[in-house]
Amino acid sequence: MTIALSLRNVSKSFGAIRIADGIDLDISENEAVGILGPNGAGKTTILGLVTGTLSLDAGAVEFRGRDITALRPEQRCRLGIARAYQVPQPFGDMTVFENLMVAACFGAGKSIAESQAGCLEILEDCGLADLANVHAGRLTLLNRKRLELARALATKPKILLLDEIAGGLTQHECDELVALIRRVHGTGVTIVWIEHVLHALMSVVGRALVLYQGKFIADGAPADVIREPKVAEIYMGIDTDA
Amino acid sequence: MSGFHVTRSSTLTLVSSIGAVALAAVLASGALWASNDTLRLATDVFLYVALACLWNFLAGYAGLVSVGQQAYVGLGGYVLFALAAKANMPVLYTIPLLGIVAALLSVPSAKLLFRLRGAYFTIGSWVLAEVFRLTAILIVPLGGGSGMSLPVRVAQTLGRTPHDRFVMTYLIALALLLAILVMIFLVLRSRIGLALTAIRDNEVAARSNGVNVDRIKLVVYVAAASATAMVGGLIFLQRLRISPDAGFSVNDWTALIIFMVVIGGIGTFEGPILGALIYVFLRETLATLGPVYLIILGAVAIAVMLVEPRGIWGFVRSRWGVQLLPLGFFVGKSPQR
Repeated sequence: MTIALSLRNVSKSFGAIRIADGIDLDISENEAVGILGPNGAGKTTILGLVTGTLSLDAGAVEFRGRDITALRPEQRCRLGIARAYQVPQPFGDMTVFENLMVAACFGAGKSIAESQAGCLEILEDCGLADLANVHAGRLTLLNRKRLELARALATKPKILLLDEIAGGLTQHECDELVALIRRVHGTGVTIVWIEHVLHALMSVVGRALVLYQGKFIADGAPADVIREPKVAEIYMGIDTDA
Repeated sequence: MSGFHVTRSSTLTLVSSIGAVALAAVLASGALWASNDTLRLATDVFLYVALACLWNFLAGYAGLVSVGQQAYVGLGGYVLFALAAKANMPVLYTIPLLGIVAALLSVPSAKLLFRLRGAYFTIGSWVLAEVFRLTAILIVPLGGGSGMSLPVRVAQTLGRTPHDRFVMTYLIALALLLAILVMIFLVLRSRIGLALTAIRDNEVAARSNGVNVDRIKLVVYVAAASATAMVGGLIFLQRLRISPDAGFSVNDWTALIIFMVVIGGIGTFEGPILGALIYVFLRETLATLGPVYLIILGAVAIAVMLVEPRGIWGFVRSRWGVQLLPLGFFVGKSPQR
């Protein structure tokens, strides 16, 4: 199987805090991977290193066998790396539809005419079609999260990085979201998903990683990973010695 | 088949587009019937509107808050005087050349200034404009620190009588303004416009969505510099006299322009036009008040910023969703088939 994304001996610190300490990771094409870890472990930072909004201290990032460490965020996006931020980053004074058009025109590199139909389709998929003309700054938090995902999809990604997009959703909304991400995954997109809502994550991903003190301390099938004593201890806060 | 479709124009945008074309025709016909005073005032208005729209294009869309655009106003004026008075070039031909000279100079300027971000860029742009001013002082053939006047023979190439000259500058200024407005309109309606609006709203997100922010900023900076220089050339062609202090005045060509853009509505197409009209209205009605006039201008600016930081047009647009020009996208439900 071909490798979609690789981290090679990646290190990143903020002052004295080590977020990544010589991380090596390979994610295969069309894999769906969940990243777990306690708050502040640096999960979001890892996504920033992949999208290029943060720079590495050492190591390399490869995308489909190509070293992209020196590429800027917009270049990585155009190669097919899209990210839905944990704190939504809408273009507040543009409409929902225009938000998607930016992503389609620049992320996917299409003309205005070519982009429109695809953007409408994504809006309908994400349950935003009725809000297409609303300015993004006026959306509720839930709809901003939907927009964040919709806009990432409009860049026509090959790999989709999701950052806690299920937090705060009702059970029903969460199920819809899971169904949507499964559909996206079904079209061949690689998924990397950071999520605290475990049941949502577990129903999509086939592999789970646990980030702790700059290293992935567990890597495997989700059900096995969360049963590992070490993971239970640091992540779930269960004292296994007791 | 999707149950939705996209349109860019509406009845309102159609009406206002026709209205804009009609207004342009009426303004052009002014050359036939307006008095000298009216022509001169209208030329002033055209040039202010042009400067305001260009500054808004730069700061309101591309996020390049420059307080150094006077560098290009003065450059345009000086290059026009040099070409017309010293090289004896016909005045009309010099105007496109001003644009080219400014575009060429703005590229290295941008390379320098774009190393600076945010407030540092702003201060840097002012410093650069000062460098331009000091350079002008050193050019002795163009009058050095005291400046120079345009010889009568050069002015007369525009028209033998003062009225002919006023008509000529009026028409050139109108043509230049229309060209600038059409350029900005077409850019905003294109893909670049989508990118610019995205940069205006959230630069980090724009980058993450594939927008090459630096390249687009460079394009906007060069275009604004080029057009600003042509406007500057016309301003001093009308005044017939230039000096380093007048040409590179931060008050006249930046502070006042920012006032217009801010009260009119930064980051909107219509706002700067409205703001420039309000400014000229205030100036014409209050100018006799002396210093009190400037205090009133300041008070208006503060009031607008406190009550509605997006300016008058920003308020109108968000309150009633008015879009006069077909720049946006509207998604409608397709009729059932």
